[in-house]
Amino acid sequence: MAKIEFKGLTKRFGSLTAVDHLNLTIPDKSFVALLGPSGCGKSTTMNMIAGIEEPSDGQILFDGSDIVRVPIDRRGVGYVFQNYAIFTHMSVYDNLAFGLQVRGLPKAQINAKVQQVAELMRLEDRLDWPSGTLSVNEMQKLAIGRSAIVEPSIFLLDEPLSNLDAAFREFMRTELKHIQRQLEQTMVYVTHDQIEAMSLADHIAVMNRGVLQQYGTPADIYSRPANTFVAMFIGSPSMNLIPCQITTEGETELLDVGSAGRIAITDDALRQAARAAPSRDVILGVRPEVLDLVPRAATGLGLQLEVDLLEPIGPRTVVHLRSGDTEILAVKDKRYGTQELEAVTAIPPQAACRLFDRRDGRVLGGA
Amino acid sequence: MSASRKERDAAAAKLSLEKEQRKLGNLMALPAQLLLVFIVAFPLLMQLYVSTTWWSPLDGVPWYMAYESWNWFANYSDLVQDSRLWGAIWRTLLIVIVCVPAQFLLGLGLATLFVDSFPGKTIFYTLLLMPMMVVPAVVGYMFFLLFQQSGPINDLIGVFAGGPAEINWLNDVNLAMVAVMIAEIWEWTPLMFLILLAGLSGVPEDQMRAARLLGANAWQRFWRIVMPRMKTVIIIALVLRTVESLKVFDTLFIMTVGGPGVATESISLYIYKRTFQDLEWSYVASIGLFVLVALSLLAGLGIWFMVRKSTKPAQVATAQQGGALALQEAK
Amino acid sequence: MATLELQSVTKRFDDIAAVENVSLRIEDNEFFCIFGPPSCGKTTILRLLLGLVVPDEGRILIDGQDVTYERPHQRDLGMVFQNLALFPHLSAGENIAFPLTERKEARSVIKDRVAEVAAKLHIDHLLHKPPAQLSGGERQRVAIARALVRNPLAYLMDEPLAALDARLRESTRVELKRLQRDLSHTLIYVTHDQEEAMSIADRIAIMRDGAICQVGTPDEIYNRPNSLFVSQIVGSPRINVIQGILSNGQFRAGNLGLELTCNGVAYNGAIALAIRPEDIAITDPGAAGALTAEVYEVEPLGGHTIVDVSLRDDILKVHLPGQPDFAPGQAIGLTLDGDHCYLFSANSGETLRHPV
Repeated sequence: MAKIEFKGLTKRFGSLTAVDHLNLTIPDKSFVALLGPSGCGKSTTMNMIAGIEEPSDGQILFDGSDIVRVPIDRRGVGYVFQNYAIFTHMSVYDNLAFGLQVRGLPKAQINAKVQQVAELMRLEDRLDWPSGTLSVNEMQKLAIGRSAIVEPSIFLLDEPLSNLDAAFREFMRTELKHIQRQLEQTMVYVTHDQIEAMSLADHIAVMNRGVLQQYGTPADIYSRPANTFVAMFIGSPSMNLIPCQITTEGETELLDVGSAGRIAITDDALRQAARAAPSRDVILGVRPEVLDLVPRAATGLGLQLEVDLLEPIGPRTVVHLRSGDTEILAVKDKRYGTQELEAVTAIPPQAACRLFDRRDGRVLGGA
Repeated sequence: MSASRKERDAAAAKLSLEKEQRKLGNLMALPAQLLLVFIVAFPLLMQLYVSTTWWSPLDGVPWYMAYESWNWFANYSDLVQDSRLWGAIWRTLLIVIVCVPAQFLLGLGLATLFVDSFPGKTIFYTLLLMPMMVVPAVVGYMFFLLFQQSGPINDLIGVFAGGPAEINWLNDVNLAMVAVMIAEIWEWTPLMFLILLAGLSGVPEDQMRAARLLGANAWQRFWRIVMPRMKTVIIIALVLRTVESLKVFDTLFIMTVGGPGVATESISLYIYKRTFQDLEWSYVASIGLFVLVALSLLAGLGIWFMVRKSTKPAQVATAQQGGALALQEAK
Repeated sequence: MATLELQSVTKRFDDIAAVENVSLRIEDNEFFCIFGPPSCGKTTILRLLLGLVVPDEGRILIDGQDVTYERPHQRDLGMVFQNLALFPHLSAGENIAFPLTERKEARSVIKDRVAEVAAKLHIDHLLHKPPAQLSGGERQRVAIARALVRNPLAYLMDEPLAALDARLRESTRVELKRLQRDLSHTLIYVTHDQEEAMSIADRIAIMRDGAICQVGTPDEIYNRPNSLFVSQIVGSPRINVIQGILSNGQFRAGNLGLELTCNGVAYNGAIALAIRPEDIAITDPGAAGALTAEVYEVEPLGGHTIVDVSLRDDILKVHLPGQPDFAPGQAIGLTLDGDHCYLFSANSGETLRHPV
């Protein structure tokens, strides 16, 4: 069990900075996802934890001690590669037993542990098979079991579900979470799929171009994104980012959304955020699921829009709304019925709204 | 009804097409097969024929008349008792037993150094391959000069030993063998190196990394990941070199001509001497056949061993997998 | 623009029927999706429509005309391939113009057409750039523009979004839908992503092992599947399936201790009962009519949450809106209404009864 800390962790490849002064603490026994688009530095960061890459600058601490000098085979880190890297010339049993055999454990003990892990991963009837003949799904389970058996304090997984078919991926998502909870290990998980990260992780580190964008729980990141990148990256569909202008009418602050109308600010936090804005041009962020849709009514608290398109995606329906250049999404359940071109008013619950600075995307008002 | 007739017609058409293609294939292979018969089979049968007679070119009779001096298998019983032949066999085996493992270990060691890149790798690589490129006879002559009593090797030893070294390599019964072995090792290690490097490069890097992350040190990685994956390559390299080494001739002929005495006489050298110095062609024919049969058995053994190892697990697995897959789908 | 039709088409490769006795009719101006697991024959259908392969049996009709033996270039269809197949040595504009320059159209005509099509797809500012300098989404649109420029009778697309990452895929598929609607084209679209098919198609054909399982609107496919297979292949998370026996309107799954009343079906025997994750409700453990179960895992996905619930040996997935507070190991109550379930025959998989 280990707590991992990054202090100013930096990695450069020539003129490219892959990881830029990363500061992060991964608590003991937690499941942390490194999430971001390709090239954001998540895999490089994980490789530095494992020792496959050396940092250009900064420190990595396991339980408080700097591990930069510790060689790969001494770090006590379990690693599941994206393409599994199974020892295909060995049987399933030998793959699982490998980590214990190189430590010189007695045969009987190895046998017992292999049985235990094989049952946990549901591979017990495949033990004497040559590992190269396993299906992709089984290989993935074997890769996890092989790393898990030596009970590493830290478990690293590099996009382990990306090669699996949709049905199995769903299954493994649940299983992985369960396994992590059972084994009580610190898990670091690299992915570009925000659904995976949200569903599995206790904490998510969102990265872009080597820079940490936000680090928090799935709920935090979802409801209180720190900038527009995070707001757009997390959630399917992503948060509505509506460019608007702050205007005043007497005592009231309003958000002017052009042809869609104006919203009077009634929520204190939102009002404070509006006052903290460096300019009048801001971005209003509101999640599609929380938007309230009512038949067209001039309330001054909502946006006047027309239904443009409906996307029925099973349990939910995504409603595309438009007014002039403004496009907004709302999510309703599968029984929601509207017609295209129907006129509606979309009312954003102001406590759930965020304001972002239009120039640099930062959230306004701090919270 | 019409569907099944259509099917039958289609199947029949397909079958006759296959037959035609096979006939064409056989025709195309015929010239090569005829060539093989004339170049290999015919001389072999001729050799078998002659080996059962007393015939020699000195008889003045063409070889197909050799039946006049038929002796059944007297040549073969002679060769069993020929102490010089068995000495040559023993010496050849000695060369193989020392040189092939030495070439293998040196080749392996060098190959492990060349797996990762380092500055100047291409230059060293070229240098390393050069001994293999030299004509064997020239190698023999080169070492003949090197091992002279007043030659460079003695000078080199002299530097380390403090005083002048006057070792008479090529005239000493034991040292001549050592010199010859050194020459052989020098010449053929590069081939082992080449084959083993190819094998080493085929080990996936990710698996090596995975092994490291599981705590395996360099030695463990070598034995448990690298070597098992190299099994086929190693067997090929060893069988190849062993069979070739048994035929060692060129270097010996130039360096020592089998001497001093018969101290470095290999099977090939012995056969050569009996053929061209003693002109006992029929006896030599019998030795030749004997060696052919022995080598074939040896190579066959090696191949059988190799094939057995690589196909067994795959067959077992496919059978298991078929049954278990059905079970898995049901789950 | 045009209707397309396959009539009893069969295509075999060696002994295996890639497509077996398939009949499909795609209406004018329809956004038609063909969806199924890998190797179900969907790509073969596209190739048959295009003319890249000739069927062993059956006919292919475009606007009522038999085109079964016509070569691809005679059929006037536009195609966007999965790997886009853009010419790397030509600029985006030249790529789009290619079908016209091949036919030796007048220079001015080409210029106008390209500008028109590029404007529709919002890529008019990129025409001078080579594909290598464009982003994935932009390249996608160049490929579509190239298919559009000749104004063909219909468009075929083979998994055009598969290579894009998740974010881009979601935005591009909506653009495609808008485009198809605005330009009123017949579009036939092959995909292996069920959410994509559901989101953009007017009608979907579900295929499996070379045969059509069901054709219908996304609503019909999702809410009124004709077999267990169709119910499982759309919907994320997958529909929950419980095996058991139906007898006199009572469903019993002994190993789960589950008993449900299912009205409106006169069938007795082994069945598979299926219920969508969003149709299961979670209440207190002791509530009346509720099954006692335990939370296995909680997957918070932001706008909604998937709660994995273990009922004896089985795990059921429940889709709940928002971010409810559950912890693994927590005891909860499950309410399943027998009338909200799908009933399928355990042998054939065909639907016995939809939710009432």
